[in-house]
Amino acid sequence: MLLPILRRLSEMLFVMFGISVVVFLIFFATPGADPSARIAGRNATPEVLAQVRHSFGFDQPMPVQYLKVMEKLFVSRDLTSFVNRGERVIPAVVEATPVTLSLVFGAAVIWVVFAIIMGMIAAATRGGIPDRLLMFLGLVGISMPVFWVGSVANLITQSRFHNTWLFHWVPGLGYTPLTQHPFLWFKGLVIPWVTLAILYIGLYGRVLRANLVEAYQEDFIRTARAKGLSESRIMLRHALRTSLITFVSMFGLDFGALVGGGALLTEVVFNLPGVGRLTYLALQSLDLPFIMATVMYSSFFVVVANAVVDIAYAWLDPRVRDAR
Amino acid sequence: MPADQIPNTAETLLDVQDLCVSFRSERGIIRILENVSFTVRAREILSIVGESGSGKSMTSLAVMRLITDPNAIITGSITYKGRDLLKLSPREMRDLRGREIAMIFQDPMTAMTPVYTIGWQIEEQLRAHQDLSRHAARARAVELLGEMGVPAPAKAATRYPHQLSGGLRQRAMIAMALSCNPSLLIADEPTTALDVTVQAQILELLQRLRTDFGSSVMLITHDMGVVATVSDRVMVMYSGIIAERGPKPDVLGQPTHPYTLGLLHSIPPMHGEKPHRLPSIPGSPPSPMGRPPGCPFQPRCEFRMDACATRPPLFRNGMQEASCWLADKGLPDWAHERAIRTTGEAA
Amino acid sequence: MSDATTDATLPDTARAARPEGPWRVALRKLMRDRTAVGAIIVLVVIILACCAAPFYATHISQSDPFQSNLDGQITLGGNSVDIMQADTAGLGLGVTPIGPTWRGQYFFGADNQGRDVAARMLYGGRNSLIISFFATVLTLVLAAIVGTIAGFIGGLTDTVLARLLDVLWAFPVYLLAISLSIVFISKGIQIGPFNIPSNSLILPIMIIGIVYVPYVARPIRGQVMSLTRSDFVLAARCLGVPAPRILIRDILPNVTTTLIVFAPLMMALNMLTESALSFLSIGVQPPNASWGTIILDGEDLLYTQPMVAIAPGLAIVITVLALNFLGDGVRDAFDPRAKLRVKKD
Repeated sequence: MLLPILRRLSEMLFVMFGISVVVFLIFFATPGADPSARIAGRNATPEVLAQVRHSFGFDQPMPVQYLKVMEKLFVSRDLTSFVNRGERVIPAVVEATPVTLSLVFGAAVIWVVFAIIMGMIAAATRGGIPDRLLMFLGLVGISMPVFWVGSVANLITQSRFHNTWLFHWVPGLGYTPLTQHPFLWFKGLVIPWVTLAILYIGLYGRVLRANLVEAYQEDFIRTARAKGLSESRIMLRHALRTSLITFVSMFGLDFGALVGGGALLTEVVFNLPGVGRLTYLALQSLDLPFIMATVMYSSFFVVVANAVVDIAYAWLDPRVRDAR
Repeated sequence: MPADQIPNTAETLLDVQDLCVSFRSERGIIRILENVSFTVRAREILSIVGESGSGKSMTSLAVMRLITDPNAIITGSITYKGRDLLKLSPREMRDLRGREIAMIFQDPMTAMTPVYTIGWQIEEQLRAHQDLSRHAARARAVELLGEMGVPAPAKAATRYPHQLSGGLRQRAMIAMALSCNPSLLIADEPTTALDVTVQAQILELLQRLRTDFGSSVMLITHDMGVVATVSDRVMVMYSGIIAERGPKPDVLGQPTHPYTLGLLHSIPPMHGEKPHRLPSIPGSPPSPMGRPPGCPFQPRCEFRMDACATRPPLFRNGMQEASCWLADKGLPDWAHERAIRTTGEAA
Repeated sequence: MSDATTDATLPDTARAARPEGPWRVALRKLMRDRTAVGAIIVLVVIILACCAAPFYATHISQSDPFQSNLDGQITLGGNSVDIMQADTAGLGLGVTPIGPTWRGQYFFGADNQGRDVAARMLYGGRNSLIISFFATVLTLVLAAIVGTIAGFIGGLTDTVLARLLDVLWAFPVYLLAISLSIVFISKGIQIGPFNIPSNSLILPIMIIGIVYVPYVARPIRGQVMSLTRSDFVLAARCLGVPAPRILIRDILPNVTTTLIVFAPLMMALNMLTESALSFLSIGVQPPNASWGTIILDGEDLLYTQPMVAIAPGLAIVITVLALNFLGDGVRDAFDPRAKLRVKKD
């Protein structure tokens, strides 16, 4: 069991290295503009430009530049934003992380629960009206831009129906830390959670239904029936359990991607000061060091999350466990 | 144990009468099984043989009421210990499955849920029908695996299906099927996916069941060799109907249906000169949609005659019955001779 | 192509006698799928409507959707009405654009600049469709090239390409798109004689087209690999059939089928990505519009004139939904057992 884990971890390190090179190349080696001008932002003085050129080693060969950037990102962690007058980038990202985690965790709980319910109902009534209706709704969920759903949700809960009994409890946009006021934290996040979850409920519900329907074609379901098990037990312990393997591997990837920046649009629409919103603000002010840092940290998080998922996957499926 | 040692008066365990299975489809009703009737007596092994598509597996699934397709139409009666299975509620049927009638399948690799250990799966069946603690169920599962000849049963119980060899998997499957002492075991091609040596061991195990467990066995197979080894009685199916049935020695020794004859001639002889090429029955079985009127075997039959345009009933000939117009008088000797010659030439 | 020319010279009877090719069979299956046909009709209507954008702007909305019109007036029910109306609600500061009139002029109302939202939506839809279509073409072509080369040649080439795809695959789509956009959108691209200005549609097409390459290239590489190792290709090799011929006769037709199955799903995904990038103001750049930028315009008016944001969003939903339905239909028509899954973040 140890060797495959080590192999997966070395693979992970390789991918991290690859990503860091790709990011470096995108930000510093693409044709178009002087990289120091990109780092320093708009309207930078010649002195600042010279300082940047020196501290990032832009007068030196590429590999040195790469190492200098990586050192600033991961070792000294003193990358500074020029647009925001010397604000340290890394601490700002660390500070924003709990917000993003709160958002993604809650949404994940909702989407997993509802997707499983949806997939099971659809699979149990396959071909019937509930199945078709749920699959249609799922496809609608997949087809809606999440930021637009968020805007419509805001329109309903903050403005048009805010003064009805249905939504008067919804607090204004923004984020309250869990440690400060747990109930307000919860109330403020319900709508963002649901908004973010809609897409994934549709996606996961549809995938789970397909997997369940496929599982029901398997011989072992017939065996389970021949054993005299109840339909609910067959569904839960045999069909669902085997279908969950794909579900879990998908979940890990999507969860990682969301924490690592995919929740950006939701954070922007609901004004939640998470990592994604930081990236968004940096985008608006063309603050490249900031974007580079969030991109790098977030992608590393995603890569690590993927590796963890692969290891969990092996644990879930004994066949994979032995094949490695 | 030769068949003649089993008393014919043994009580009837399963009595299937006029079983018809058909499916509604876009192109009309497809008839899969047509008026299939047979009985299984206590502690006997009934073999059902036929090519794929002959309806033998459908017969076993119908007995277990495992045909879940909502478009299936099932008529007739399946009487088990005096109760018509087709009239039971789903709940009563579920209670019967696994406890009274158990089933094993062709490929134990795909027939067992891949993510649970062998022991877990046997326990699950035990606890579905008996009030047992997990601990007691595990003990019984290990015991059963031991009885089925699985070496180191306690260790095998902790293994996943893919970690065992095909033979051990099938033994585990049989252990699971027998865990609640069923009176009837339906074995659907239990040896097809196995090596020849393992096949023999599994067949021997099946034969022991009637003495050790008092179970009857309904053995579904396409392999005449398997039929010859284990069965007491044989039922040959072709294209959804019964072609021939009767005690094994009669059917195999003196077949009265040309199809049985063809099947027997396609087995390599044990002794004597080897044929240059094994004879085979020309053509292939008709699809359920394209069944000819009258006898379904007639397009492939060497003895086709005018009478075949109407469907022959089952003609009784001593203990033996066959649905062939020739069987009325018993297949003449020249038929045997010609069958050997022509099937040889056709090959 | 030579097949087509010989086909044309054949008499009709001879052509009819030929067995139907898999393409015709798939097309016929698709045409029998009522949902897919419905989706095609919806898409055709949307495409035609967007093509008619200039006509709509000149003859129906009678305004320039790219020119701000803060002082304009229109005639509603005989009365002259300001497009930017004095704000009566709230603090009474500033002006609010006119809401939906449900008539030819300002059907969905006006945006902050006093521009006709309905007319802008048609122009924006053109851009959204163009970007998502050409990004899809780019993705599929690049993925087919990379996947086929990696899978067919194998060896070191494959190792290098596969690793590269792994890295890009692990890179979250939005972050990669953001990184590329922020670098290029600000200044455009100048490489030698080529100069792509920052407001060109080519930029979002390139960015979106590139980020999804691994999503298609990886399955294609796997498919080509298993085809290359399949018995019939092995047999062909043993018979001395040259590699290019095997590639063209045996591999590419299969790859093409996969690409066709992917196409509508990728286009749906690309349309969502385009709208997201435009919403983040790193997609389509002003004065150009797309459905995403119009939603962004509508954000400021969300509580006062929500139709500005709702209408283009609905347009996206309907288009993407139709593409997804079409995608399901195409998949079923070409390969009922296909287990392709387009990942979405």
